[in-house]
Amino acid sequence: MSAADVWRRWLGGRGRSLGAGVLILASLAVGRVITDRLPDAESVIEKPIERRGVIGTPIALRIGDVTVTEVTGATSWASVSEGKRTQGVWLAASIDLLPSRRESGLSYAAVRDSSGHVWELGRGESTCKAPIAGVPMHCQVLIELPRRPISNAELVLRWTNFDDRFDDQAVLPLTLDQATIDTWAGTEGPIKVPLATLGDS
Amino acid sequence: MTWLRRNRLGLILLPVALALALAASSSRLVHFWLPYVASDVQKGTVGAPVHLEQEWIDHAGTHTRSVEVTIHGIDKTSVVRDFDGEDVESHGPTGTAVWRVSLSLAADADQVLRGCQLEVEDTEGRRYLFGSASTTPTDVKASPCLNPHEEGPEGDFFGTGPSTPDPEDRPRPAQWDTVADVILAGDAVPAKVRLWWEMPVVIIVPVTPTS
Repeated sequence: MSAADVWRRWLGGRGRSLGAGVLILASLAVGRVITDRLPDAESVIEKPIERRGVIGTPIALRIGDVTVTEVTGATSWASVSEGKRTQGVWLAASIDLLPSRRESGLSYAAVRDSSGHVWELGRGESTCKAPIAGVPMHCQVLIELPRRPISNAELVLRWTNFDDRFDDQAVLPLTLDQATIDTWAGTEGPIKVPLATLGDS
Repeated sequence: MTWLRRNRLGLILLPVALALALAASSSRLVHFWLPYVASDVQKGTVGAPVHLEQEWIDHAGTHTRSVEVTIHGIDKTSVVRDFDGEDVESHGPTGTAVWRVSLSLAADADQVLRGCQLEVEDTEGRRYLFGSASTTPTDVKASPCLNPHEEGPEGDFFGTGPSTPDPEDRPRPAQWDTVADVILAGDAVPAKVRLWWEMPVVIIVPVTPTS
């Protein structure tokens, strides 16, 4: 028996298993190519669901309806107990909140731009806390921003920063161009930050 | 022999294997979800005592909470019970109503019962937690389950050892009546009272308002 015959016999007896092996390797390779091209599963799963809206119209979140009624700015704000100045500008958003399920307020507020910068509450304030389900609340959030235009700026509002349930958040476009920032930088304020009011009054 | 016949054992075992795989991957549910939600519900009825038993841990070790809770009913109220145990005139913002849950509890004097939470759920599933400080005056009593100055022992949650009791404190009786005043939306109709110390053990008692 020649060497070629030995090879032929060996291969002949193992054709099926070799074929299966090749198929498995091929599908593993294809799977690898697909997973490499898909975004990271964790970041997709953990990404909050975004409800987009504009100033003046209610945005329906799981926790209830959020309406940003007005956005202003200045270099200082004063609440009943404290006040803060900034070398940048303070953005103040007035909010109508109607919680639908429980006492969920807005503990997370941020401004973000298209290149990945995020300005969170930091030294700022949210008075949108401890509402009563079914009772409208009028409140404010204050966010400190740099004194420069922010292109494609968006305001993000969510009920908590410690979200383990991949909840939804409200996203609104903001106009933070040179003119707006100049106006805010030239307004000393202080922006008045009263306690949140509950009820229709 | 058909393909189905040849593979019948495999086909029968396939759903079993699937079920086993699902069960095996359910550890996250058991470890990270069920202990933190109301997964152990003790359902009760108005006027009938419900026994709650639960293990809890502090720096002194593992303890067993054993307490009997009776929900007697829920009514609208114009007063709230303050931190001295007095009923004071009260009102909430427009569009709200204050409701009073009447309840009684029974427990041994050494039971740590501070940290109790009470919530009223309305017919639409909206939830109202005791302690929402929106009533005027805001100085309502600290615990929905306990009477001021009769709150009993504290747990050692910070490793600081036994705390010195307030000189105003009296011993907690073996059985006591109390109230929990909860602020609801004006149009809310109470449907359930939920009471708990630590998840996952929760007492739920369906209620029908009498006023």
